[in-house]
Amino acid sequence: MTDALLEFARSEWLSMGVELELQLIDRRTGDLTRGASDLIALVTKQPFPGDVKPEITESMLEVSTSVQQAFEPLRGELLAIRNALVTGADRLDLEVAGGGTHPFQRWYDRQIYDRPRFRHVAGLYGYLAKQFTVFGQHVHIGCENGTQALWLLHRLSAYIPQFIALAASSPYFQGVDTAYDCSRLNSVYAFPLSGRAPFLTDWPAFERFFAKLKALGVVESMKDFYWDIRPKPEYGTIEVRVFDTPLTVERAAVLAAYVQVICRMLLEHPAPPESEEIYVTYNYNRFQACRFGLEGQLIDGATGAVRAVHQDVLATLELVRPHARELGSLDAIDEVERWVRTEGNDARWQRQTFQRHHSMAELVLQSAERWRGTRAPAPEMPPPRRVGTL
Amino acid sequence: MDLTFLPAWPPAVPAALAVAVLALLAAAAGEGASRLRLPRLFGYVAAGALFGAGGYALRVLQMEELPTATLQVALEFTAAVILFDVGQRVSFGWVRRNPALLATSIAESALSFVAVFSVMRLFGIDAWSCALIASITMATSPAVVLAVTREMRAQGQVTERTLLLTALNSIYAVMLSTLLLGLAREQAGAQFADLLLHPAYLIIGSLAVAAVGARLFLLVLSFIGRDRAGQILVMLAVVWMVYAAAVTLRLSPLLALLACGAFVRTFDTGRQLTATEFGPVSGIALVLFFALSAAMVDFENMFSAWLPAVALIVVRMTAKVATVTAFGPLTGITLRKGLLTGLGLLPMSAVALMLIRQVSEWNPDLAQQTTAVLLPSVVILQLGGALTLALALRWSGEARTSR
Repeated sequence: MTDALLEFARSEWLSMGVELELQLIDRRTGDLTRGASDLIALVTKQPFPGDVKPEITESMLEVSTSVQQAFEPLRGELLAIRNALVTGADRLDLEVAGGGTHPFQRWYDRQIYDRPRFRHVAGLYGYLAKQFTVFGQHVHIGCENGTQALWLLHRLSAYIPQFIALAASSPYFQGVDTAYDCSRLNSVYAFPLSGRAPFLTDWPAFERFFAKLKALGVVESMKDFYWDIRPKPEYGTIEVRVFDTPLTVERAAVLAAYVQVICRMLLEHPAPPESEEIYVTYNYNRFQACRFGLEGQLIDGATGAVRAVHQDVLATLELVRPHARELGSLDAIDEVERWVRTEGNDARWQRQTFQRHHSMAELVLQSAERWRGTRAPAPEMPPPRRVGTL
Repeated sequence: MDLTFLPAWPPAVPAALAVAVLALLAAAAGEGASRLRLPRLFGYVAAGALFGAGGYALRVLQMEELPTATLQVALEFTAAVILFDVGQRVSFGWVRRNPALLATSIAESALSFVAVFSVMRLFGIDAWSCALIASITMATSPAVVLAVTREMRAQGQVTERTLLLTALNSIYAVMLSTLLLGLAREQAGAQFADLLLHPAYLIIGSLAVAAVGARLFLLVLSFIGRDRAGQILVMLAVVWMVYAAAVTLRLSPLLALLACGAFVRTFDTGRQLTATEFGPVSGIALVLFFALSAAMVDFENMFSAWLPAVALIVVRMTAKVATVTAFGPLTGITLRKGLLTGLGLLPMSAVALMLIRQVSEWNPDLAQQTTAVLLPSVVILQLGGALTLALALRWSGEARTSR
């Protein structure tokens, strides 16, 4: 990359794509196991729907969809990807699973995948790189130009707590209940260039910022930023990175559709110019969502109003419904509403499953069954406490 | 002066002390081997050989007899634990989802049998001995494979496949050598009914004992819950019961224990096994197994048939490596990983000699001839095979990176 470098590719407005980081599981023990290169070699013998790549360790895999416009085709592609992976994994006696963390893996057992960039990262960050064996979903939303992307990025940051809470699937980490619904973002937070992007609202300013950091030797490429949302100039997108990888591809598709429909609403209703004030309560709200999930209490930095994440989601759902109708993603919106009113997020399923079996290995293997689509029977637990209130 | 409170001179050494001394030697030598970047089992074997040589010297000097019976019981118990552990690596589910693996397994065992049999015939060994040698050498050493994969903390396709194919070819070897035993009796003039009845009794009986043991194991395990010490105790108790039952009923302990491990895994629909961790126990069993078996090798027999032994090693290696390599792509891995898996299947160990012992109970002559060829092959392939396996795991990138 040269210094001029950050040319923002133009994408189709509101197009979307999904990346999922997945776990490779040993069928006997439920532990993470090595096998990414074998599985990739096997599944790419036939044409693979979407794309599949190695990640930083041999027990991790990244799949991505092609550029999609609507919920249903996106869901179809994700299902096809899932089926191809499961078929291949069966022949290698592996399981594939979602979830933001592996509940009991020990980071020092991980083997760094042999590629120059990964070796560089491992060398630079030491144990962080191995502890970074966490699994996220990234949702890309197409933008027409860099300035629009930055504007959308900052507007979208208000919805980050919702995204975190809805996708949270990492309550267990290194063998303990972290008390967080989403513990994964705590691991990400250990990196120096994580958190929110700086408040820059036009593309040339962003390019100057990047050039400066690069000249100072702080970063080499956009990949060195671990921000919650970051622009991806070469794709012409913004990339929302706060989602834990859900336990099913169906959830992954719904989450992407939810981001898309919010973006449509934001772009259709340009708001008055923003100020950095929008970030006053950002870290607080983000923590609330990580810690308490849908029960987290959000503070509106401007008005001081407090409301729970689930109330925030239900309010948003009402506002985006007309846009969902336009985009053909009403099913996805209904699904989000169902999670909030009855089913809860994946972290809740994980805790219920663990409480039933008292075995983290069993939890992992049941998560893998959920990923395959042969759903483990819903745990018999007390009915959900919450009824949506507005 | 009354000195009767003092022990007699020379003092009588309790048999258990011999095992203790051997264990101490083995633990230290294992660490020594590890510092030389060799698999630890090199150290265990060296300690055992040293100990055996010491015992030999004592015997020649007519000072002390090694407590052979005690050592033999200890050896068989450690082997029992190892076989049970390896049996658990047989995933019938995997074989069902990837039937080409079963084809690989049958092909490599069959080819290894045919190749070894033919070459042994060239050396003028009689057909029954050839068949017995060929059936026993189909098996990869469960002990070596378990020891090396554990020590290197290997994970991945080469590791898993080596373990699976080892468990399977060990099962074939036990079954086939048992059948041959029956056939050889017929040659010796036994009745036709004998010929079928005896192997049938051995195989069906051993499997039945295994199934009962597996059910019992899972039943008690589900009651024990998560108490680690309790789980280990249940495992040791069931292994010992299956072993004792097989010996008492004159069945095959080797087959019973391998099958018991495999049944445990198959019957475990509630996944109780995932909550257990028997690693440390089989780790200890492995140390003692290698040390004890090396201590008890009768080196007088070592060099009487070295030429057929070398030929055996070469053709067995060729057959196994070529077959597993060729079948690699059919089973979903590359030729290269197939080759590495083939290299992983070379180790042989004293488990093969125990098979011979089983035979010798019924047919001492046959056992005598086969041991002359097998003993040197086992000694070479225990260490040489451990090295090829260790290299295969390193080349495949499945071994843990060095610290």
